Amino acid sequence: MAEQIISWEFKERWVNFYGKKVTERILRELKQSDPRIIAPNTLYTTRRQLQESLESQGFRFAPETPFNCLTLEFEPFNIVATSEYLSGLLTIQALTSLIPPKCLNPSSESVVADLAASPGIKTCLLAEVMENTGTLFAIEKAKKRIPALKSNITRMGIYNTFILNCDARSFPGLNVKVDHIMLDAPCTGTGLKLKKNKRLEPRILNDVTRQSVIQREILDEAWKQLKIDGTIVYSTCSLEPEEGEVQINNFLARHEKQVQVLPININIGNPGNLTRWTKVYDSQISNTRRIFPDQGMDGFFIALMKKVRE
Amino acid sequence: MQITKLTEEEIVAVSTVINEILKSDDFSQILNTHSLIKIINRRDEIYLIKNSDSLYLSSSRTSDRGKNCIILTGKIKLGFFIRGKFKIGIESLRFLANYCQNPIFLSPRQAKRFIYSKDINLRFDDTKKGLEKYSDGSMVLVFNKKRIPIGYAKILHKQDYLQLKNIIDIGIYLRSEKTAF
Ligand SMILES: C[S@@+](CC[C@H](N)C(=O)[O-])C[C@H]1O[C@@H](n2cnc3c(N)ncnc32)[C@H](O)[C@@H]1O
Repeated sequence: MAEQIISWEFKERWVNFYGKKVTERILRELKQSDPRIIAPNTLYTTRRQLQESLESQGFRFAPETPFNCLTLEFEPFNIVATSEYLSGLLTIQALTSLIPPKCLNPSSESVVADLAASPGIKTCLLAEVMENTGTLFAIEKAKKRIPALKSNITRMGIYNTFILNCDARSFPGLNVKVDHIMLDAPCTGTGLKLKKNKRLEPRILNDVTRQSVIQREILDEAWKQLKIDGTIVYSTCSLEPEEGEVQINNFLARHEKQVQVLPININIGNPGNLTRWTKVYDSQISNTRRIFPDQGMDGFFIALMKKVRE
Repeated sequence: MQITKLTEEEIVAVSTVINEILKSDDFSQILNTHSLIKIINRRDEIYLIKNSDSLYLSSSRTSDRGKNCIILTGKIKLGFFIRGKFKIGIESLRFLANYCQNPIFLSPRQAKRFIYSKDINLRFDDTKKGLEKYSDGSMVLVFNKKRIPIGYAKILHKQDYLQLKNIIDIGIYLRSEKTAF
């Protein structure tokens, strides 16, 4: 099925950018779907408590999962029908979702903005890191995606989050400076594996250009709203360099001397690499992280940047 | 967000409903306890605020970034007003559960029925903890055996049993899944 979803144009690009071997691995992996990952809501429970409670109902888990999560091996019935799920003791995650909130690591009293929030999977994780205190703005442009965001936030018992239905590019209109920004940007999603019962829309190259323009615009507006010493985490679930390494490289060029790219402290994925794209690029790119779909999760790109001066 | 203050009548309407659920006399007393403040944000002030018809418990602190600028630092939707009457909302469940003095616990079977939006009939001899002390028509917070709050119910006295009339339960998150995901 992946063959129908990923057109040959993408494959050719991946071969050019990542090499033939990696591309073959990518294509093989995109056809697989990963098992369901469960993250305990650490505001109200622990992993052990949750695991025991679900196991007593017949759920079975794999022995080990990174990031304090659980991997579902057997579901006697759909986990969303458990009172644990309904009362917000857990979320169903993509493993990659856990990375941006972890990297941003906001302190509990800070002011934080999530600029592309729905359905709020990462918003909730961010609120957990903030221990439900401080202030978190969840910004989402698409009105029809607001109910999901609202539902997740209330189900999870999160109180520090304000939902704003607006364009992240008009976020400066709010007139608040924030300590941290999470931009899990809208993207082509070419790194996503098949999800149960869900077929992705076919992607075309035009989408890459279109999305990367939106990403650039949001990034630049977000930057204005960040305090000095504040950090922004940028991520996409795309394998296209224009939405990842190249996007950040251009950003660094536009905001020369203002940005420090901080290292991502996880031992998954590879350092961002532009040698196959261009001869001259910012060496800080190697602090970004590129995750391929054969690393136990979806394809992903992530960069953590600090504003060192205006 | 258009924030308005509550009228006296509205405050009474809210306190009556919430006091009844918590089986405690004074909601405003709870508002002042340290533990509540901690839940939202340690050093902040707590307000009841209204935004159109929804009622929120909110915390704020005066910003250090200029006069008259208030940053809300937390909010919990407690419910909403319909023609002056206060209705409790599912969003308040986890929060109020912290303060509930007299919870009702359901067996796994009953709890399952309850989160499928069903009413639960309890025989009087079921009610080891003395459910008969709840007056007819009073609101209660319902928990499952694992102490997870699962919803609100109204107690109805029938001839030889008590009925927990389902007002709202956490199954709503499943039932609205189509809009939710
Ligand atoms: C990749 S998804 C975010 C997923 C989310 N962070 C999560 O973990 O659940 C991107 C979201 O950005 C929204 N979006 C697209 N353009 C936007 C804009 N200009 N301003 C704000 N949100 C936007 C989309 O509607 C979509 O919900």
